[in-house]
Amino acid sequence: MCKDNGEVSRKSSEQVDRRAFLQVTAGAITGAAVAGGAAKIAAAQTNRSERGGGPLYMQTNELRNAIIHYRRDAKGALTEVERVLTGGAGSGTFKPSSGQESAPNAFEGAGSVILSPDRRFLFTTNGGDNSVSSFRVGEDGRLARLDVKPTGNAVDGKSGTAKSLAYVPSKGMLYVLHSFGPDHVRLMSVDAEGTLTARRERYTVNTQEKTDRVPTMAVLSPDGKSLLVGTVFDQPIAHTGLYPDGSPILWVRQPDGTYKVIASNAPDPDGLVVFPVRGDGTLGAAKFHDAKAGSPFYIAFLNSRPNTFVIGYAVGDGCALATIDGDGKINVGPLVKIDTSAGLPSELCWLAVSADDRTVYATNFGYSYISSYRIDGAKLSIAKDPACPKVPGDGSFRGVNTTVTSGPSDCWITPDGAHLYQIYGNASALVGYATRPDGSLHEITRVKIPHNSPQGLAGF
Amino acid sequence: MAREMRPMAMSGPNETRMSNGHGGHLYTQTNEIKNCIIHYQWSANGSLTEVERCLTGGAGSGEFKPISGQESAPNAFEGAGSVILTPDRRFLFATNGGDNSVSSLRVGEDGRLTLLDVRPTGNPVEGRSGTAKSLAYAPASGTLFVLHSFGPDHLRLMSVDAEGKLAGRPERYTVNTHDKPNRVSTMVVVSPNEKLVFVGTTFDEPIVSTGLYPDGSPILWVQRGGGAFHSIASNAPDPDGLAVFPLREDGALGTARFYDGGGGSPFYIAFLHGRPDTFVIGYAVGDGCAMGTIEEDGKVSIGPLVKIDTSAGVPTELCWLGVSPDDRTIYATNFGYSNISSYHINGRGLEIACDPACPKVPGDGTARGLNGTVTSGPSDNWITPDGAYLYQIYGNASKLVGYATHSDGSLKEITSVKIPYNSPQGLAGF
Repeated sequence: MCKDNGEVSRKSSEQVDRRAFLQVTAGAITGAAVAGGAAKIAAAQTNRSERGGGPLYMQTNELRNAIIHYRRDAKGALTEVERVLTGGAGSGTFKPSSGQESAPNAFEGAGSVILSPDRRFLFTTNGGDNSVSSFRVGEDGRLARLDVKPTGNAVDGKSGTAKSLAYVPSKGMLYVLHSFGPDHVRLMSVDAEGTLTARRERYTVNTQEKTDRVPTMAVLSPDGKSLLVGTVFDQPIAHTGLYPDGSPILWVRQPDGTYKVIASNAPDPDGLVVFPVRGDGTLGAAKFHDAKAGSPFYIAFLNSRPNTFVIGYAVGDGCALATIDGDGKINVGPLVKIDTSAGLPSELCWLAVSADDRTVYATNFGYSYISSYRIDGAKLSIAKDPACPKVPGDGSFRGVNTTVTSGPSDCWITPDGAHLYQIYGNASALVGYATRPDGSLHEITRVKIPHNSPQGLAGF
Repeated sequence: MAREMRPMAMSGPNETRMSNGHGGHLYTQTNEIKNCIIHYQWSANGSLTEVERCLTGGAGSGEFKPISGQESAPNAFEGAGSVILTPDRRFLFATNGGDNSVSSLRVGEDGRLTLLDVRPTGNPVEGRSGTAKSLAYAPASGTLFVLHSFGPDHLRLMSVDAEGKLAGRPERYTVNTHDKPNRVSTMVVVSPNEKLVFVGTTFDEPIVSTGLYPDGSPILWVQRGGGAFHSIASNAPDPDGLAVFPLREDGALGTARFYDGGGGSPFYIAFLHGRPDTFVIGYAVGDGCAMGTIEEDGKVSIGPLVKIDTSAGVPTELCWLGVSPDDRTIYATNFGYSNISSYHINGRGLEIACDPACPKVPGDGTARGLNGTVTSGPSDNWITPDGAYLYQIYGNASKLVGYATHSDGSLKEITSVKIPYNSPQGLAGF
């Protein structure tokens, strides 16, 4: 049973020695089953999933931030089970990255709600006050809040910008990414009970010439050796400002009179940042890689090819397959664009990879719909573009390309690959689709969510 | 060709308007380097048959777009009315934007054309192309007004004699202001009472001057004194986008008065047929239309802007207008959306009829509007005198498309002919 009053449940009959569990499974981020209570929990949860359903979690990012826990059934329908306060603050409908009073995709981020591989813990950012909450996930998927701790970055102005999480259980380390720097990445230790302890390490994705960059998400390589961070802007719109008609200033005049776009990696070859992960979970010096296209927003590793990942480009308007070797060296393949006839940029950002690694779903923020790709070996190709009809918003919001959009953001695909769920913030809708072999999506369910603010999807 | 006008049949809420029964003639200019007029016969069912191509003796800009500097793009001059007929249908005039000249052609009883004269407008050609692009004729004084995209001498005059011969005149007029020495005008229109000459505008600075960003998109905002950003679109929001000149008896013009156009880039001006003091403005950046009137004292007032659906991106570049002969329906061509929207005029007001009025016509995928969407670049349109058909140039689709009009404001495609790529402009007929 969730406790909304701040009381933290630290014990349960399922409790096991978390630290011991982590030591046993060091390096096995994919969560191999081991003996003990945690394994029992995971097994029970897996069985539920195999029966065709499971839990799905999303954060509201409201000022009193909460996780909404849905139950998805075998047909993909969603039923709200509970809303659990995180104990932290979201940004509400305010969008810190642009300064807009009410807009979807508040932080230009992804991965703000994650589960530990063993599904014992759920972590969420609280972007409003720069804090992180941890929850225990029960056998029935119910959440019990364990802890809330500041990330260590001060809140400047109306909101903080904590927005993306990555967790390495073998080291008990949680990486917390913020939109604004210089201290984009902060670290937290997670103990066996899910209690958080902020650490003093801080890392940046800024460079000497670019002191105001906006990263998007932090992702651990499956071998646990690298932390990859995507970027979207070299300068945030909140700082470049808006033209008198309200449209964003995307090109900035340089001292030599030339213009430079604020999108990262467009064309400066430094949009993908890779930190080596040390044995203790701290990070080494970042290397800046050419992502080969504008605004390498999303990084999604394949399930069965742990050296291979897909990049979604917000300004490059497509996806590319990439590989990383044991030394953190990156090789990015050709960009495969979607149809951009409806305007530029597409703001293709969020990705979901099917369990069989054959299909990638790409959410187009600027187009109000999803496109899909086919993966065949080292080749990426368009499957369905679009993969589903547009979901209209309330008409109040436009993408960077000036078209009216419902601002779709995070998506999540079920472990069996049968269903995909998509947040359409400006439509106040979380939509569920049935996936089809040709890459198309068929809407099967829709639930009402708060306007504009929600972000983050995780489940099993 | 004298014709009997028949009343339109509209027995239901969405009836197709009835044709006059015998069709007529339609002319467009190719704006190719060797410019020519294509003469079509439009039939009673709206279909088009090419009759002839008649060289103008002047040069078009080809696919080059002088306004933006693009090598190949539709709507070369950001203009309208480059091909016009005299009210008595004896003469057809066409601009030659490539070499800043005007051609006059005699219109035979069968609609066939005979080249009569070609004369320079008087403005020199700087760079790869001139910018002569819009014509208006005042029959009482035999004066032809020739508008250029670029100034300072946007407007030049020509005299037309009884045989259709042209003679350049020394007068020259500008739509620049003290603070805006680089404006881009769109079209020139003589009021039905021949007392005023209207000139629309689209930019306070042309894109060819502001330039392109490294990705090829146009620079639409510039910093002026104090560093404040200002849109290059005219009348956005400076209230000076509509220039109105008093027209003297000898065809010369008085001092221009600059009006608040009521929306960004007041591009097109179309007078109603039965209310000679009333006109409609199409706004390229205002994204809609408004009705305007000439008051008794000659002043101009503009009504409220009625926007189309702009969810597909802004600006729409709603530019060219066609007014039905009964003054009930306005067709507005959306350059940025590859389609047409329609309005109804009820009483003294405008309201959306069908938006869009027809499906998009796709181009070849190479042209994008200012809103970044891929467009086929529709430009001039023309509605038949019986109101039954509307013809629309889609330059980037290499198509001239004919539609049957419906009383609800919708358009149904009935014919399409291939035209040169990107360059064609201007439609006139009877």
